[in-house]
Amino acid sequence: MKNHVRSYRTDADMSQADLAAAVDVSRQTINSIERERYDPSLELALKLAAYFDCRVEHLFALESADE
Amino acid sequence: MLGLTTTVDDDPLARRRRDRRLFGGLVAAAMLALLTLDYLGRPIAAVLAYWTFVVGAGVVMYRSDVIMDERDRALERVASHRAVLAVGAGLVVLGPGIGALSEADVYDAPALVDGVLLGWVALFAVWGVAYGVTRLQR
Amino acid sequence: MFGLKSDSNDPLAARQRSRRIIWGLVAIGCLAFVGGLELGRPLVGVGLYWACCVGFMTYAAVTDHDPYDERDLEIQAKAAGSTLTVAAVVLIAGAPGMAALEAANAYTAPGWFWGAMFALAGVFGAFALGMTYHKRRI
Repeated sequence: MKNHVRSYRTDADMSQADLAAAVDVSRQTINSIERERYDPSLELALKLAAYFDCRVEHLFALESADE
Repeated sequence: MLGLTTTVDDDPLARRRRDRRLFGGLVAAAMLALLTLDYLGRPIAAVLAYWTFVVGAGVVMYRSDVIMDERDRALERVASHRAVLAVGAGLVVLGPGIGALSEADVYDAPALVDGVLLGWVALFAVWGVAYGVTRLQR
Repeated sequence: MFGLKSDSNDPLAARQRSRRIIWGLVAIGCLAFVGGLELGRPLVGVGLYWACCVGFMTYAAVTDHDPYDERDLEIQAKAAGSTLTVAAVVLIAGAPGMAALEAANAYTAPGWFWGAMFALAGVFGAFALGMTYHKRRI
C-alpha cells in the first residue's frame, strides 16, 4: 500500500514520536508506515485518519489504485 | 517549578521504554541468577531464582499495555509462523528419512535424535490444536 | 453446457483446487512412505515421499492461486504464536528444572528428553533469526 502519512504529519508540524504517542503506537511503527514497509491494521489506519480529520482513503491507497 | 510537564505515566513512549527496560532487566537477572548460583554449586536455588525472575518478566509483559505495539506483535507473528514452518520442513525431511534409514539397518539414530524429532512432533501437535481453536474463534 | 466455470474466472474454485493439489501430494507422499516400509523397501518409499515434498514446494512456489487467503494465514500465524508460548513455558520449566534435578542426583532424564529440549531451543533459534530478518524489513 501507498500512504501519505508523512505529508499529513509534517503539515501538522509533528514529529514521528508525537504522532506515535497520539495514536498509541511506537515511533518505529510510524517510521515503518511512512517508509511503506509496514501496512497498519484497519484499527490503526482509522485512528490515523480520525487524528488527521480526513478520510482513510486519503491517507492510504492500494498501489494499483494510486497509479 | 522544575519545568516538568509530564510524568512517566502520562507519556506512553516513556512507559514503553520503562517497561521494556524492566522486562529486559528481569530476563538478564534470571540468566545471571541461574548461571551464578549453578556455578556456586546451588542448582536448586539457581532454578528457583531463575523461575522467579522469569515469572516476573512474564507479569511485566502481560500487564503492560505499551510494551508491544501492533507492529511488534505483527513481527512476532511472522517470526513465529516462519519458525513453525521451518520446524515443519525439518520434520518432513528428517523424520521419514531417519525412519527409513533405521528400517533399512543403515543408521540407528541415538535417543537424542529421537528426542529432537519427538520435540518437533509435539510442537506440531500443539500447533494443530491451537490452529483448530483459533479457527473456531474466528 | 455443463455450467462449469473455469478456475481463472472463479478464484474460490482455484484456491480450492490448489489446496487439493498440495494436500493430495502430501497424502501420496505419506502413502508411498508407509507402503515402502510395509513392502520392505524403506529407502524407495522415502525417496518417493521426498519427491512428493519437492512437488508440493514447487507447486506452492509457482502457482498463481494461493491455497490460503489472508485470514487463513493470520490464523496460522496466531496459532504459531500460541504454540511458541507453550514451547517457551515447557523449555523454561523443563530444561533448568531437569538440569537441577540431575545436578542434585535426584533424577536422571532419559536421552530423548534432552533431544526434545534441544528441538525446542532450535525452534527459538529459528524464531530469533526470523525476528532479526523481519525487523529490518518491516
